[in-house]
Amino acid sequence: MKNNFTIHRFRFRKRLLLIMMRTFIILFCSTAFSQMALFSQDKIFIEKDQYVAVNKVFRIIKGQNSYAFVFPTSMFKDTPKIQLTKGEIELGKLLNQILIPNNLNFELSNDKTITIKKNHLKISLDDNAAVTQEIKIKGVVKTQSGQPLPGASILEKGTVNGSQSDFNGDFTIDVTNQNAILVVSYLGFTTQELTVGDKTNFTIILMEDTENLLDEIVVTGVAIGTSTKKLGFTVSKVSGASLEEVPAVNASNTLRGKVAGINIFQSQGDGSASVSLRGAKSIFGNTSPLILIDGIITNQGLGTINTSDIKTIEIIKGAAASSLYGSRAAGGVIQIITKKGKRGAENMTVSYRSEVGFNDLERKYPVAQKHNYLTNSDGSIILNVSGQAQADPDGLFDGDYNTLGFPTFDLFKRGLTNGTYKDNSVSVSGGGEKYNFYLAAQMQDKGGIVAVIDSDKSNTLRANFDLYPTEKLSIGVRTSYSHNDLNSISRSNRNSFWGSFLTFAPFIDVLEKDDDGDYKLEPSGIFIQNIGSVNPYYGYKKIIRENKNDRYVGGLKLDYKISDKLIAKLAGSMDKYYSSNLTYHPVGFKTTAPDPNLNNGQIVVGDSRSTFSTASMLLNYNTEITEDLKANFTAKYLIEHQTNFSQSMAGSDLTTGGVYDISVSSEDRRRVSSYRSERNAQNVFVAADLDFKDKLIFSGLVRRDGSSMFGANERWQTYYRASLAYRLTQDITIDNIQELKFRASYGTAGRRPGFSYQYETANVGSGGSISFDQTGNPNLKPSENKEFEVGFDVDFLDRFHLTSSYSNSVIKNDFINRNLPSSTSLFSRQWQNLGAVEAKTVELYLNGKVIENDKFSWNFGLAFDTSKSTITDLGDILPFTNGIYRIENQKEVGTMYGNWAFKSLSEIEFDANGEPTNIHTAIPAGTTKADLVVNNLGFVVVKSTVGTADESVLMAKDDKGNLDIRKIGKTTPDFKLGLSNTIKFGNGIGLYILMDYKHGGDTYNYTTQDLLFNDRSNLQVLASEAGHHSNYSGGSSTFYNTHAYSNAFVENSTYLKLREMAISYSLDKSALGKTFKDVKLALVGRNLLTFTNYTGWNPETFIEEYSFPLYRTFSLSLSLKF
Amino acid sequence: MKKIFLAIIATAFFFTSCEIETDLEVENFNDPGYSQVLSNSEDLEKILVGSFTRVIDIQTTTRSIGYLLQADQLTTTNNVLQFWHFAFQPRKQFVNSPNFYGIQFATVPWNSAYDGIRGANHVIRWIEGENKPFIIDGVDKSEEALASAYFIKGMAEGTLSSVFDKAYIVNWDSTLEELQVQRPASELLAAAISDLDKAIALTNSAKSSFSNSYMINITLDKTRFSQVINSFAARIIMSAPTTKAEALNTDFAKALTYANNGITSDFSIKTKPGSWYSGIVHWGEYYFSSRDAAYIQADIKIHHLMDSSYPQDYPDAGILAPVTSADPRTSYFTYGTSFGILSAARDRSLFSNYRTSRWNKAKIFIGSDSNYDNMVFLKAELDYIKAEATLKTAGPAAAAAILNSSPRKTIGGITTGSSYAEVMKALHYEYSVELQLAGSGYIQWSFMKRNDLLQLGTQTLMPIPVTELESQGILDVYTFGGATATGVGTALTQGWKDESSYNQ
Repeated sequence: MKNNFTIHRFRFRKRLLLIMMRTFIILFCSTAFSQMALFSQDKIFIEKDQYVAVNKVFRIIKGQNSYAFVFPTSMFKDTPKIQLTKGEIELGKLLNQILIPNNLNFELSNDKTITIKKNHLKISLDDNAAVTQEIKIKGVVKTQSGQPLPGASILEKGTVNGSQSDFNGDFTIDVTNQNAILVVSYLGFTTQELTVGDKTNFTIILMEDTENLLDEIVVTGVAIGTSTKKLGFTVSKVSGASLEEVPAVNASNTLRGKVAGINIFQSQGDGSASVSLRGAKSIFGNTSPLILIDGIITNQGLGTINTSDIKTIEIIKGAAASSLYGSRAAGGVIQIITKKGKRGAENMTVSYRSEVGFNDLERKYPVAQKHNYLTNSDGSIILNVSGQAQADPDGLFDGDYNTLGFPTFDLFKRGLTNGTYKDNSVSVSGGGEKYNFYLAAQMQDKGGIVAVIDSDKSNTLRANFDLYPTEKLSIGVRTSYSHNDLNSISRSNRNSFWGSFLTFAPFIDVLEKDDDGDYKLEPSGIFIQNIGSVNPYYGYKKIIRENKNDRYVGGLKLDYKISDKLIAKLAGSMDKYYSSNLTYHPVGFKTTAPDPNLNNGQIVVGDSRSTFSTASMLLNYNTEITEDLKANFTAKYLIEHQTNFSQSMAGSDLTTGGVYDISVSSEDRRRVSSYRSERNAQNVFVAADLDFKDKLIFSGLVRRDGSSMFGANERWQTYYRASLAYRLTQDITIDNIQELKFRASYGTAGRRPGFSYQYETANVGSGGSISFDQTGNPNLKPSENKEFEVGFDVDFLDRFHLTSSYSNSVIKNDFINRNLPSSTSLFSRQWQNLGAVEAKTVELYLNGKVIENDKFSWNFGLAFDTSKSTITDLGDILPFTNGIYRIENQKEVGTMYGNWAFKSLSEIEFDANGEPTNIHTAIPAGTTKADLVVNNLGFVVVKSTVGTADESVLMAKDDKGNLDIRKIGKTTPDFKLGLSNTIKFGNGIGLYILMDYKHGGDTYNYTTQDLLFNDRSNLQVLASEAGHHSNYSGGSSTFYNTHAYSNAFVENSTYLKLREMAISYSLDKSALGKTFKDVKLALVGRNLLTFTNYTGWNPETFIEEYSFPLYRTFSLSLSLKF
Repeated sequence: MKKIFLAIIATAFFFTSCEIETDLEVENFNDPGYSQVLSNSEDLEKILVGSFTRVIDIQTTTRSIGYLLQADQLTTTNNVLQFWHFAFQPRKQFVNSPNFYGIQFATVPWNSAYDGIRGANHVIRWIEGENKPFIIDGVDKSEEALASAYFIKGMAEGTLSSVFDKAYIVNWDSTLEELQVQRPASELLAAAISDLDKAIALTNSAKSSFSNSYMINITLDKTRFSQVINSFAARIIMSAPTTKAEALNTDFAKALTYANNGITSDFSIKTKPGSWYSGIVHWGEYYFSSRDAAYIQADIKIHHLMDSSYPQDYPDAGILAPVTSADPRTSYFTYGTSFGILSAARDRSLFSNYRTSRWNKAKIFIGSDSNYDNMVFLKAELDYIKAEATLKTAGPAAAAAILNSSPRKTIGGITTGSSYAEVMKALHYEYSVELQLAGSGYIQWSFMKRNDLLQLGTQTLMPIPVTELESQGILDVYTFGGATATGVGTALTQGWKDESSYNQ
């Protein structure tokens, strides 16, 4: 035990940088001191790296030797603590370490009494006898957000003269001359050097060192900025540096592989990914997290944030952390912290980044490449009198499309394109003594892969300012504006864009033109294949679609230091959103059947506006209750106000074409509608953080939320948390482990009901008719998430960091829009609080520097998580299926239900006569087990029918004679992994690779199932190759199951993706001259490769139904900083 | 202290200057509430209109097309809304499951009926329960409102009795215990007739200025309104039995009485854009001009009836020529060699070369045509109800006489023989030809099930929808139909494909 662990009794406060420790050692080794020889035989053993008060150093010395110390009790009252490094140190050097920075000296008497005295002379390194005139320097060290930074080291460069900032960040130091350089450092922040010059008062702003792995300050989920080492719960932080390697196309994808416990699903290639944290927090699935940008609560999604503006992202996943945000945060919180200028920067920094590339379909959908048409012996098609293809009686999909007798196309080449991707961003940042600023702009153009659909365009502007008019007052302004011009595409059924595209046989030419020069609504091949679809290229070319939105987010924050211990913060914010859309069918628009609503032109316009405002006041009081116990108390009051307004108008039968004025439409074909809502909330919380000897840290919080969205009888709700962290390595030294912290927390957070949930509403129909719809619920509460979390954080081998967590969430009072019995209720439905879900999650995140030297460095991050959410209560309602998902007590959230095609004879039950009793499919009378067989595709069939037109999968029957509905799969993966690697070579070449892996979990491949209907599924070709008639797998088969869900189309969607890769080259700084600070070229690839057995397009989806495919992006980027 | 005081002042200034609304009592301005719409006659009037809309919509909703497919009036191999499931041969069992998209064919009529009943009950309670006058624009319209309410309630209950095997009877003054009892269809029918009788009585005894304007886009005087109620009452009684055997207990005499007091001319309602329109006509006649075929074709049964040489199922190969028939009503349908979007891979026997083209000659989207006349009740249907009721009560000769003065003779030029089978086959012919897409999606299905003319395995009843059972906490989900199924709610004979089915 003693070999590995040494009990230590002394207090630890802050860890100094390694460089500081080494500086001290070097200085002490090289410093001659008059009385040092006296102690040459006396060595002090320091048991661990530690940070202690001066008088306690004396106690250590006294404990190991018999020296006594004499000094005035007030001498060390304001003296900063001392960093001690594990190992042996000569007594003299140790005393120098203590005394020289404080301008003290000592005398040794014969009775081994050491008397400490004030030193009136300055001793220089070069000439320890020289006398120099002192210059007294005062200053304060702050974080970039204006928080005082206690414990920062201030060292006069090249000397052992040093000081530390006190609890308020203040420091004093006497330096030798105006040329002295102050080296200001603090763990987790970038070291700064300042020439003294003629200044005697400094305000020093230390920038966070985002590359540093071992300690981080977070501001999310905590009342004031707090080191992650002092947290009793998990707050993940992703640095801007890791985001800059491959800036995501939008912020929703930035966190892949960088955080454990985050779920990012990109179900549509042309949209943003959905993001959720930990397990499902609702019986209906995942719950979106609350998004904050620089502390501003916003309704803005991650998908519209310029990734170049992001400095860091903080993620809180558990309810204890998110309890600070009360009823908005059951799904966790993601805070984007944007960049800001450097206060006191000597020069402005201009950053420019340009990326140009193209998009490319990663892989073709596996549609049938063979047909089963009736053909002549030469393979040419035999059409019926209607000019339609006819089914070949042999029932095999073995025909070659190329011999049919008309042109065929590779539709993926013919109809798709490589859209360009362009992203240009520029920022200017800088600052003076009393201000800093960051201005940025971005233009992004995301071309898709469909030529007739315009690219999505977005522009963003950001202006961040911080003003420090006095030492006590700081003012922060955060503003951003974004404009998006989007081009949506119809999805998710056979009549959608991809539904038509994938259904089209290779002889349908989507680019075929009609006499008017338009893409042909029904290309000639459609009649041969005889499908009901129309050519989507016609509509997408002819219809004018506009979908634009503008968003302004602004926040103002005033921090005022009322006293050394009391800080007040006032903040206000506004998030204004405006969107407008237009869909214009021109006069003369063609349809397959006459449609007076469209053929003579139609205008549909709509707009919506929302404003979300907040105002808050925070008071923070920090104090030292005792020498060992620090306390921090916070109280905050926050009000929220949100209004939404929308209206839409439609008119058709236009008298004039080419104008978007509804008044040109026929009066009796106009429709208007509008909607408005208002949401108010008042919230207050008090929080207490107690820090005992830097090793036991307690945090407690109580919050009251009042919201107009809660039922009238439940207007106010209470949330709370308690967390405890214990830093074992403050008490015990463990070899190769620098920090080991255990933590536990318990807390609550909520999810608010939708605006209309609580109200009693009647439907107003056309002509003013009214029908009753929803009954009100004055008792409607927010959904509540109570979560217990334990975990540990460890820093080891000086380069690795591991965070682990286990969390158990119990979510109650979920919202269910309950169908009310027709007979006993005046209304058809009511929103009720029902149901409970228990979510258990294990997360591990390991990151660090594998190798780091001048020639090569390799940083990595490895995220692992596994989660399971189970429905634990459904109140008094019966189990039900919501689409494909089963909502049933003790069932996992994401459980898929559908019909069951038998795959094993053991699944079939037989009666006393040996005849099956649970087969729903019609089978010959007298069939027994001996008559059944599992065919070579893995399904039970009647043996005698194998390979014939009568072969059919056998569907299960329930005990009431209905088609059985049972579990057919689950969406939740067994676990997920994400691995990011940043490799840098000394010659400026860098390599970034991000991979993510999902193990287990199922995807319902509805696209493949639906393609059977029109004989376009590759499954039919595979079945033919296995010797099965088209009746077995075609659109009239039991296998197809009239496109109802069945187990036949559930596929394991385990995948490994090479998500992002970048090869970069940074020019040698020595070659850049004075103009440029950084020049970097990079080749960037996104969504590069997918390794999976899933046969559809996208294993990330839960149900793939003609969804937009993910596409690869290849680009070249140039980054300049000057 | 001074600083703290200043901070408090600054905070107060900050919050007051923000002018952020913080009142937690927020109104919903988008939809009216219960108490609001029940507090005056004007809003109750709108409830009445809304309830009528829901109930009339049951008859012609797109979700009634499944019943036309089961009655072999329409055919398709397309699966939008699970249409193909209902056209499938041999017949499939109805899947009473929430994840079956075709569950709408049960939930839509069920929910619409109860929506109508709820609205009607509010008006009945207002007038009868609370003795409040129904004043609109200063005029006491209590008689009209009450008659309308009972009409709506009776129509809704009647639909439930003819479609579902059981349902709930909901009166405004029912106790909770009464409301929770599943009643057999026969009790629903009795309730429907009782309410319709009240509506008729109220109308007939009303003041001479009686003017019912609570239907969509139409105002009826007391005579016409009474005829409409009687007509629906006749249809409802005729629609109740699910088998020929069950029909033996039907009160055909009463149906005949209602029919005799029914409409004397076709009853239709014009469309206003955005309001109700006939879904069965819209989709039943939806025409792909480029393919010269309908989205849902007319079933080959119709033309087999018009030309006995025509097959009962479409042959495996070739294209059938047009029918040979002297009946000019072949013009109700349009022949084309194109099969439209019918797919041979999905059963060629479901093919047809005919589309229905009688009601939407302009081939437009009728929902946006402000002058489109949606047929709600053809006078001819009453003729056939009279003929059938007469057949069952007075014999085939009398019935044939009625048919011989009906459109069968006056338009079709067909004289009907006096045997039972001839009359029955003639009725089937007329229901198929003359009443195709004429005002209700259920009338052929109802006619065929009460005369055992539906194909083997066709469901003759709908179960209570699973969604309703679940909302009541009832686990006993059940269903009907399917070629392999037997028993109640499933056609057990070969139906119209067997000529002997027309025999008595």
